[in-house]
Amino acid sequence: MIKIAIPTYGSGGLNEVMNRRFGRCDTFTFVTIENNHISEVKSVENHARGESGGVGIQATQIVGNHKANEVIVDFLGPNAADSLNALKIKIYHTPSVELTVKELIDLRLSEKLQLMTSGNVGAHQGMKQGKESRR
Amino acid sequence: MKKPKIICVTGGKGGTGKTMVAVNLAIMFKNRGLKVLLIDGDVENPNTYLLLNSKLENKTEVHYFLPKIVEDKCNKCGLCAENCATHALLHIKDSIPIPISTVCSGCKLCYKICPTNAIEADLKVIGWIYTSSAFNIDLLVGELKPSEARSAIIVKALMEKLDKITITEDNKYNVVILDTAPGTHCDVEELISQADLVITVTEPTRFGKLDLIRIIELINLLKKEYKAIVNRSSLLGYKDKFLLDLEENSIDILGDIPLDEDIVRSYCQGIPLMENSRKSDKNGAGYESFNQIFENLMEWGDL
Amino acid sequence: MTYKVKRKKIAVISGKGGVGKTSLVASLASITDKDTDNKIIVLDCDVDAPNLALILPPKSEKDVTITNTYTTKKARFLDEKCVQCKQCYDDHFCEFSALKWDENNNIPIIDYLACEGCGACKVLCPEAAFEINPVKSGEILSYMANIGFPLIYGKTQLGSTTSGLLVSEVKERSTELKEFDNTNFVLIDGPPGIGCPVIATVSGLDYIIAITEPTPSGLHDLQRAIEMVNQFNIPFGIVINKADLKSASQKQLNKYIKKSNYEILGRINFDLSIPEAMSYAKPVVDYAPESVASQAIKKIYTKLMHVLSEL
Repeated sequence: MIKIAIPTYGSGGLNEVMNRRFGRCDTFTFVTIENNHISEVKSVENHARGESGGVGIQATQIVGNHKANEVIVDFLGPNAADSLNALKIKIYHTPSVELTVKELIDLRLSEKLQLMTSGNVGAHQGMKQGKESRR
Repeated sequence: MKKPKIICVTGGKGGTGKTMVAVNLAIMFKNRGLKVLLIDGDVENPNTYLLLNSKLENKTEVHYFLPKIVEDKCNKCGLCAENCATHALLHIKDSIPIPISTVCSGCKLCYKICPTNAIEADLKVIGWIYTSSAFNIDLLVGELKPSEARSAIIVKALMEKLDKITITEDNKYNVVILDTAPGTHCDVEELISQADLVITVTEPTRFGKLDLIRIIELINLLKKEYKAIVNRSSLLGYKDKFLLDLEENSIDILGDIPLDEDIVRSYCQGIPLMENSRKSDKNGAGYESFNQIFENLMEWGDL
Repeated sequence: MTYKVKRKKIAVISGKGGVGKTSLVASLASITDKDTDNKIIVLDCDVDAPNLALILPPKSEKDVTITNTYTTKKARFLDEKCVQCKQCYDDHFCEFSALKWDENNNIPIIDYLACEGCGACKVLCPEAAFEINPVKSGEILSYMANIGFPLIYGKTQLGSTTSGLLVSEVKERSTELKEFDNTNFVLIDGPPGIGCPVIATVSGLDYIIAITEPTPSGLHDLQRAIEMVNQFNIPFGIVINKADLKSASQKQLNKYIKKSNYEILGRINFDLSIPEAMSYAKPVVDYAPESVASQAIKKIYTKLMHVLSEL
């Protein structure tokens, strides 16, 4: 069984588009996969998004407390990357923007996603206090 | 216990000649028979020993605190993580917290509040302190390890070393000169805060003036006395206008040093201009201005 | 001839202060702006002593946006809650020497400048007689430069310990500009040194220009800057200012470059046009376009574009 966390906009869910910023997303959508099928979908608010510091770490705590073992992300800062690696949560990278949770899960199940081992943006690049507009 | 006079040489703008001035002041105090310690507080790029062609010795490590969790003592309560202001402890329910070293501030709060004493100090190297000596002056040089960020930790370690010397070796030095980094960051602040007198080295340009005003703001916040030295004063012929400008801004001037090729030569040679054994031209413009500055300094500092 | 470059972020650093970062950034910005194929955004991340705005001032003073930042935290003592147990001082709550004792009034004093806002005193005091509040950490100024491109710079509030955060905020702001999506590159004037604010500057960048001069400290500080940059695996090129300065370090510098095989973007011979241009607060390529320095910088620009297009 794998449980995948994806940062999402709004209230999350399978049809919601992935949020480009891991630490400052509105919600995390958790998708549980059993026997190659989606068995459960749950969205959780990201309480860390408005904090001024340590956001990547706090967001990782949310992901870890919900027992996810994988994440799919776009931009990931160094603190979040360090934290996810410390918890041995696998990090996958989205191939393009504006994909929905469902589309990303399909890509993951057909093994089309690349693994990431470190952050891909500089520190503090998500510091807009969580008020992000969609591109 | 007789405490040495502590003189801080700073400036705000980079490249104005702080280190060159600090080194030559140290030499001139030595020439007067005083016992001098020169502390290189520009720990990101220490240069004093290069201007003196001296070797660094007695390398000692400077450490910073990171928490280490002793797993068999940890009851996974998460109190440390909950109270960590920078979220430097990653805590998942019912598991042992994991330190995230890059955001740890070193406040040791976790170490102090752990109810089961399950946190120990994991000391990491952030840099080094060396001693050196040349031309009868002693040096203490701090060096930050490249890739580390917090230079103020090494500056604090340098000042602790100075405190220790002052307490245990009474009257070892009459004068201590602190050379700072450029800018107004916390490493510079730390050194200014320890000084009896502050000398700001500037250049006669609007950039020099802008940064001078900024460093003076910091010096005033720290309630220290200061005077300015205008280096390369003959640059572009602005000297008189610039000096007047400073006076109009109520900035006291210790002196000015004109452009002098002999200063550049001495800089590249690693033998300070004012060092007697160099046999510099005593009628040189730079040489004379340094002498004047020194007399003014002796008077100002009551030395 | 131009090379198409897309949204590359580069910074000019040096290690040693005063070797010509700001001067070079101003000239490169001016050249890029005149190059119709390239759109640029310029940042000054030397937040402890920003200078770039002197040479690249705003088109109009009234169009400068100033925002305050509040990323610094400081402790505040709550007199009314204190029972004068002196535990905070005796048990060394503060690791940053910011907690002193007022013998006359028998209460703690917080050294505001030394305080790092870590919150230890707040947590450890049994009477909760300390609180932690965000305070102004600096300012970010954003405007259209008179030459014609957006410029953003940060300036720290003296005593704030968060220069790195302010640098990151300045970088983040550039991505919020409406011009960002169409920009070809973001050019950053970096701070001197190799510590906190410089690391925040180079983090996540595509390319670094390391500028030096052939003096003992110029070479020494270049080596340390490169050591720091290499920790972040960012490609870089070297510019040598005052390249024809006669000194023993000239040989050492050449040896170092040859041995390390680092890329040289260019050499600028000693030229009084540079300090003259600075005194008129103009980029040297505008003040004296035919000068030795300007010719050298134009060559550096061409080489830089070539290097960036191949990244």
